[in-house]
Amino acid sequence: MDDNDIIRLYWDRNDMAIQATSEKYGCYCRAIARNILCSDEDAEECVNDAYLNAWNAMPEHWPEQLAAFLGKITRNLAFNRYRHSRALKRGGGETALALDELADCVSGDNDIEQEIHRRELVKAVNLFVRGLSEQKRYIFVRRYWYADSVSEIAGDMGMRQGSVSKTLERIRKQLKAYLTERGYEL
Amino acid sequence: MRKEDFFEILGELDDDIVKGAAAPVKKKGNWKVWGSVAACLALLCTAAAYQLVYRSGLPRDSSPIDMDIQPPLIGDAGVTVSPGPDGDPAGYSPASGFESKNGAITEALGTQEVAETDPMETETPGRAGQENLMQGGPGQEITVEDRPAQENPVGAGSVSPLDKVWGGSYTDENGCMVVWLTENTPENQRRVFEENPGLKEASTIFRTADFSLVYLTELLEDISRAMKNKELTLVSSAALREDINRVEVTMTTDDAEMAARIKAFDTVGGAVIIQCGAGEAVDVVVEKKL
Repeated sequence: MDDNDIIRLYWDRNDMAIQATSEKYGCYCRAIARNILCSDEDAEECVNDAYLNAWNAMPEHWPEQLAAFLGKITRNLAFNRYRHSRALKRGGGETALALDELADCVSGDNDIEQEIHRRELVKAVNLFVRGLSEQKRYIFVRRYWYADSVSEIAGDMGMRQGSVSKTLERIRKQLKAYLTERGYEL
Repeated sequence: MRKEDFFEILGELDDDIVKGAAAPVKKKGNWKVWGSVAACLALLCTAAAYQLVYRSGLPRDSSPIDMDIQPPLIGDAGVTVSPGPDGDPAGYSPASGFESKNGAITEALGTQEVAETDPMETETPGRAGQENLMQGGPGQEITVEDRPAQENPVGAGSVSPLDKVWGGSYTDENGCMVVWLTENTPENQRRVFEENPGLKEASTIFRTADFSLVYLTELLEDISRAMKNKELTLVSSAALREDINRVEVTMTTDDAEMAARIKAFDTVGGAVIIQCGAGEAVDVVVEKKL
């Protein structure tokens, strides 16, 4: 089913919207949630919550990219659940690893003032990521948005894991320098 | 800012960026291509030097020059010079590059992967970038055809005994290098350390592999080719998982017939893991990229 047809179902408050979403994007959303939570059970609950959130978000919202829209909802919900439960012991190591890597880019302080500049920071990060090569952008987004493991990314790219790790390290450094130059002290 | 907050910030990347990363962008070629390309270059150099000697009339030894001897032309020395193909749609070249002539050239000349660059510098992705790299001179495209090592007359790029038993490697959660060997013998382990002087025994673990990396790479190539030819429309990605010594294929929905078709590529059996996961079906992504 076409994305616009699915969105139309939401706008028409048709119950089939959830089923259609599940058929087309269920696996996609579950993969995102599973990457972050490392538990099929939690991932399933998270995805169901995502459908509910999508239902509530529409009809006010007509997403241009339904996959990314659903993916973001799922990612946010999964990460909130992760923060709540700190599911490290259940093999949630991959998310913890990704977070530890991102510590390269930030100070670790809880700075309230940064909240005010959040929108600008998001814009700056988007600009930075757009400026990357297609390959580097793919690696960065797969690691820090989709929370894929380095080995999965290396397999997708046909690269060695060491190369992927090195690339990520360089991108993190570049990102930190980029944001610092623009006055963001994270 | 805390790392968790930054993770949330990254969650607000633009939709097109997120969607663009949903399907894999295959890096063209792997390290084995370097050896093949080096062999071709060696052939070229040998043929060029040979031609120079004959054409210049310089005697190779004390005997008189035989002007009837026709030295081989560069084109006969195992290298094909021909107009290059148009190039594969970005994202669907086989991993090893053996099949893709574009991949061999791109790998040999080096992609923009390694160099440190200004993040704001726009890099030309996909097909345009490949075409630039393929030009051997003004208005000329060169394709170098990959040849198996045993056909190579100068013997460069020969296969090491370790290649036959190498199943792949990865770094585990403890930072140890795990090496897969289909024949996990002390002799082969010793060869691994000999050929990889950077490896330390204390932090290297050997495991017995079911499949060689060569087999898994060829399997992945076959599956990638089928994806490119739209024979596997429900497959969103295929990846070589060195950590589990398998090829992992992700389908958008469960479909027994498609799964059977995928498994048919695996002539040995047991090398493919199929799962439902992220990404869109191949045909949708290809249409949008074109």
